[in-house]
Amino acid sequence: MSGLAVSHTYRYAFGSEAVSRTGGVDLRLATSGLDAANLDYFRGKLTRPVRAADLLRGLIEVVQSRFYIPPAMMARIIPADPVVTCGDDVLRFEAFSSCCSTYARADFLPPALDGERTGRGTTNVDFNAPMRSALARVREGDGVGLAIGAESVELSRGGEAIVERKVALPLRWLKGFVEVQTYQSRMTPRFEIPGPEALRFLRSLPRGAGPGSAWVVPAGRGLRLSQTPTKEAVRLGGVGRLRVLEILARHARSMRVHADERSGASAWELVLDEARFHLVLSPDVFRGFSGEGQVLSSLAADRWKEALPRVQASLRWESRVDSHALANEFSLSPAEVAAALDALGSRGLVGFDLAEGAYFHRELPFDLTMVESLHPRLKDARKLVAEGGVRVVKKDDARTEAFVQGTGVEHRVLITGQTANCTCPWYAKHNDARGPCKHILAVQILEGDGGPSEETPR
Amino acid sequence: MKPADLQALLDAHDAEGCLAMFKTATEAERRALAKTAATRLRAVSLFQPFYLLAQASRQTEEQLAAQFPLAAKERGGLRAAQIAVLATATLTELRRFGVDCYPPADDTVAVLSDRRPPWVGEWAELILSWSGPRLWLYNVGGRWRLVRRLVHEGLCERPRSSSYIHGMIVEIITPRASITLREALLADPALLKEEIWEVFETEPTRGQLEGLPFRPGGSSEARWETTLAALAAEGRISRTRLIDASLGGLERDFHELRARWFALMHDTLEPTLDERADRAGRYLGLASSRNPSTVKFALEALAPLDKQERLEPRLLVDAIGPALLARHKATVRAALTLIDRAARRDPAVGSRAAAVAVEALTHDSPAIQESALDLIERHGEPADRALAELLQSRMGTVAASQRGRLTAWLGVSPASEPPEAIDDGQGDLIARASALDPLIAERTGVSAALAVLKHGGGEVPAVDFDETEAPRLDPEGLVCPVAGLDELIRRFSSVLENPEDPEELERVLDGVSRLCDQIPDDFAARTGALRARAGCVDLLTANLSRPLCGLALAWITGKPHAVRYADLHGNLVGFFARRVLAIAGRAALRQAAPLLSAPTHKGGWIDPRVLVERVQLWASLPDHLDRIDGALAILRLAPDAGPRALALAASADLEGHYAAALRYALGSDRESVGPDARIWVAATRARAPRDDDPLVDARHPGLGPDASQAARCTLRPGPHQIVRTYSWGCKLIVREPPLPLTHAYELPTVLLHDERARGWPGRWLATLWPIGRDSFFAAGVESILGNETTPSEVSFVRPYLEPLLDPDVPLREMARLLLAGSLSASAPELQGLATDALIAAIGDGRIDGNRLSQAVGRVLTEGLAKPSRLAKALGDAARVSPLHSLTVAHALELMLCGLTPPPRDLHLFLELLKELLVETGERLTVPEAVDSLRGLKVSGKTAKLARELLGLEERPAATARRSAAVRALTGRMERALRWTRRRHSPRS
Repeated sequence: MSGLAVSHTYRYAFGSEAVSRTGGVDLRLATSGLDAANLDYFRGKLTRPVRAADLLRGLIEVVQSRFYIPPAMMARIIPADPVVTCGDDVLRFEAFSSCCSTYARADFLPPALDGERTGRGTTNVDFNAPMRSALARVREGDGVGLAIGAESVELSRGGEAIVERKVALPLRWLKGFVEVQTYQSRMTPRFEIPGPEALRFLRSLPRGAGPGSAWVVPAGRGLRLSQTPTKEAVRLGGVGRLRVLEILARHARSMRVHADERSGASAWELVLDEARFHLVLSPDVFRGFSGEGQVLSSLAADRWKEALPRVQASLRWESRVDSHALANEFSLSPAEVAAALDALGSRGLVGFDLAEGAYFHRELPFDLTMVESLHPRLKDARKLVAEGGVRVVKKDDARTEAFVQGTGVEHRVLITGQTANCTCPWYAKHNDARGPCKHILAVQILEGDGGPSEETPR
Repeated sequence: MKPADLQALLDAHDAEGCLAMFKTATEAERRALAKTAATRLRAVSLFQPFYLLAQASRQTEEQLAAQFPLAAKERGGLRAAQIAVLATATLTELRRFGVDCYPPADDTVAVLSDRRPPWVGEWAELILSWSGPRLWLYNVGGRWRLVRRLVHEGLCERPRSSSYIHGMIVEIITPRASITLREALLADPALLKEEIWEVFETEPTRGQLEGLPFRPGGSSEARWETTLAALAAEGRISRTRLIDASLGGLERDFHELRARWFALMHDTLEPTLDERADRAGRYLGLASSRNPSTVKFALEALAPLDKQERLEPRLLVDAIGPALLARHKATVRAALTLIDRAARRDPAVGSRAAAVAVEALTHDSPAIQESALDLIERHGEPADRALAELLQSRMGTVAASQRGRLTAWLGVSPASEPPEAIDDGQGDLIARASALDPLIAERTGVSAALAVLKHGGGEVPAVDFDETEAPRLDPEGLVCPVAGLDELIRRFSSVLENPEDPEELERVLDGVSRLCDQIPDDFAARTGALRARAGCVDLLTANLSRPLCGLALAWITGKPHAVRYADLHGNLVGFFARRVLAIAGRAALRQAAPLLSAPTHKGGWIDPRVLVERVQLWASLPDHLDRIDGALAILRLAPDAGPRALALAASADLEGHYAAALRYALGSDRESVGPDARIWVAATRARAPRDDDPLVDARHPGLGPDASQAARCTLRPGPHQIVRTYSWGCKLIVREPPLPLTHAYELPTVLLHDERARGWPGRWLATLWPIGRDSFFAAGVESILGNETTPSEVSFVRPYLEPLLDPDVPLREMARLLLAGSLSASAPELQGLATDALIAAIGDGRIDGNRLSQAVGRVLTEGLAKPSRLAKALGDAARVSPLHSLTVAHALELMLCGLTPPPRDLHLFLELLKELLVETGERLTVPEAVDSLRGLKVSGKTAKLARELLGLEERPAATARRSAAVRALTGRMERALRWTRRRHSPRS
């Protein structure tokens, strides 16, 4: 596995299993972590078993997918497991594709589950091959029990060995997983179409479509794929990723499309009576959420710094964090609370629910301490500053001009008001679509007006 | 045991000696020699890949020795070095060496048997996971067989990864092996007990999917499914377990390629009816598989059980719903048949069966929906409230031909059509249209649309206009020139990375041309990064980037610099490079001047008034005009009549040949044709792009199409074949006059007709001669039609389709052929773009049913379109609005006229026509089409559809016709307003 990686150990008390019984099957999902807090989340049954099983299968499909394979790279799948969050009233399963371009979340609302929530928290959940096979076999009319955590531990075979899997999770994968929340917070709803039309649209997607971009536009009561960008169109890079939804759309009452015009990312939300399924796509299939650098700008502003500790301390596994209430409670402006939540999102401490238009509390069960400090661009920029690679030649109220050391050449950085540009090839290729380049960041850090500090509160 | 001893053995290439040396060595002794061994292997393998590559190209020993003396010398030493490394290295070191440290299998077993390190199992997994071209170079085969030997020798446990199972599948016998698969399996009985069952349980990664040959053909002795089935028949393995394992594999939802083999394995075993009946529940479960082939397999397995009534109807109805969501019609039909039979056998499940069948109403095919409705009517009750609600919720996706039937059965009145396009602003639209300048209203088709609307609506005939009539100088489309040095550096850096945007490209060329004399003190510092990047010309792959590197270096260094175009000579990229070379020459000399050919407006257009001003400025400079640049500038002249007249007047005092040619291009009749063909060919093509010019022809004869004579392009009569890859010289287009055997490489209008000279200059090509679209589209026909464009070629040919979206580009024969042919393109991007263009052209009135029918009929009869793809694209376009529905329906109706013989897959078009006619409340109205349908000698579904079409009755559906006319008027009004705005455009 190339690049930086964080070692992570999945420790399950047992392997997830499907236990047949008269009239149905019990799905016993093992959760990772052996401390008491992580043992017990839910026990009960699924009210719509086929639909629930299909949503979970969709989620697993995302986990097991690498939608884009760079040339000369093996189609290796990151052996990462989905994440489950048991909050107030919503049970959420999250997953992230190996190529870091696609995020999926299945939210089970109260009507989907008949049972007892015995705990609150977030952890990994084991979807091994037998469990996937069992999910594929669930039928309508089956009584399907679901236990996440404790009950299964109680039923597990006493002294049997713990299932332990040590994996190297690439840093870019972790970064993408946390940064995708910030993307969602910027999205606006664009289309909503009935479920049958959604199915028709998804079925009409070309099977052999390449990784290029297309645009989705309204057509009659539904949607159609276009190759022409227009004002009303939603950009869609890597059409093939949407096929995950094809088998799920039959259950949907409607499908909502959200988009972030600035970055070109989009989210596709299937609305069921008792659940929701979100598929969030990066602007292009070959662009992972991790490499976009959008969070750098968000972190560059410091208005979250004061609000963050208070907002973080107030989180109680809410399914919907009420930012207005928090603003009132702490006498902060809504913008400060929003910025603090964005910053928490970029640290894996809250997720964003597009359906609610609000953050929810969850804490990703990974060691994320390295994620921000080792952001390659940020790290390089700090190094440039530390090594004296930045030479400011002109500075006044209107603009800053600096030369920053590159590979065998100096790059010229011009910062004027809100705009900044650089003469490096990276900036020439992407402009500011993927956040500032390391040279611009270096100048900003030196000027003290944007570089995120080393010590970031967690 | 000292390093020198090992060194001596390695120097002598003594592999046997190395084996003997390490036989009894301790781990400490081995590690002491590790560095010597590693150094040696590194040296030996340094040139080995190149040597092996050259060897593979069948060079002689002498040639190899001359080319790679070290590798040749050390060739014999490779084995000894590999043995030494394997005997001394740690696992981490071996991992770093990779395939280089892999000695022959016997040596490996010998070394590891002597050494017995604890990491043999990990190393075994490592070598099984290797992939890449070095394996081929080093001829590293039989890795699984080696691992198997290590297992047998007790050196490691059996690996558990999918690579091990994959290795067994592909390596247990080699293509040239002397033993069969059966013999290989019997020779290692442990495989039959454990490994073969894991084939069904181990998920393959992407590179391992094709390990199990599932395609028909090939030796049955090498095929896994036949071998396993034979072993099961002999009782050597459990047949029951094999049947269950294959089903288990299918239940795991692995990748479709692997699932198809599981299904083949299962079918090869030919389960008896009893065996199938015992597993009926599992087959039913597979109906919800994600793999379409597995669903098909399940339905085929269930069919014989159903025939023998050995399926529990309730179970079947409950389980089979997901199969109704399949894309393939045959699968859905098979599922409906099973549901229908179950409901007939057990009427108690009738209402459930009807509810399940509702899923099939989301299928695109009206025929499938019809079958589903048959079932629903047969087994459901309209009074069943849940069923009725379910059906109502699906009404939006029900085909028009079935909607009436469904509403009648439900006993509800058909939902009235939404008043699409008939909005509150309709009166205002008509008032604005009526108030237009009558000439503009006539030329833009507004008058025709108004007339149709006044007579109740319907399709409006296409607008006829010439490109020379359409004003182009839109104030909103101004190209702003680069303002200063900083902006130029930034834009140049960006264009080097991505030269796709032609306006940006031209802006940079113009910027260098105008600003090359601005050399501030910190010029070198400011342009340093750009200079460094331009020096990496080989890293930039885009065709147009490479000449730009030379320009950047010449401008920055102030020294003449090579512009890479020699290898592009003779094509349009070379033409571009030749132009860049001229700018680079001036830039190096710091001779600033405006670039004549820099577009002033998007699309490559130049305001004639601006061009005259540039020429006036040039007249005051000591330098000579670059004729290539000058010719291109003339070709880009906007056709706007007012600005042309003003420019002509302003240029009256200009002197010289170029000025005369410019005036001639602007319409002057008082010029005498000069000697420079480049300038005068450009002038005549800009003056009247589709006319011959006897004056220029007299002075510059025989230069080819679109020189002095306009090109007349026609499609070569077919039928043609659609080939898988682009074929040079397929010559779909016949040109008159023909291309001369040798043509001037500086006449871009002529080069456009030579497929080898066009090159791939991307979107810039469309700005070369923006008024000469017929020739451009003919080039597009040659590039796109007649072959299946591969994904990697899409970006090259896509620029040919993009101008079709321009509402002011008339669609004449070549454009329509390109459009119709691309509707059936294999690449979804091209097909989608063509569909967008068709939707746009119908909306803005450039194409109507009549013209569309001609083009579609032509590409079908000439064999340049696949009916299924074409019908799908037409259906997609028709769904957009009533105007699009009526237009496509009219086109299909006209296509029916004179159908002798009927085209292949006619039913696809008839089905679409029927749906559109029902949707819009129309019927067949063209007598020839009716006669043609009546005279068709066809059977089956085509005959049925023909009868249904002939039986359609006109329904009063003024809404659709009126909506269509309003939409048509809206599109034409947009053009009228645009043209009006442009006519009053101030000077750029």
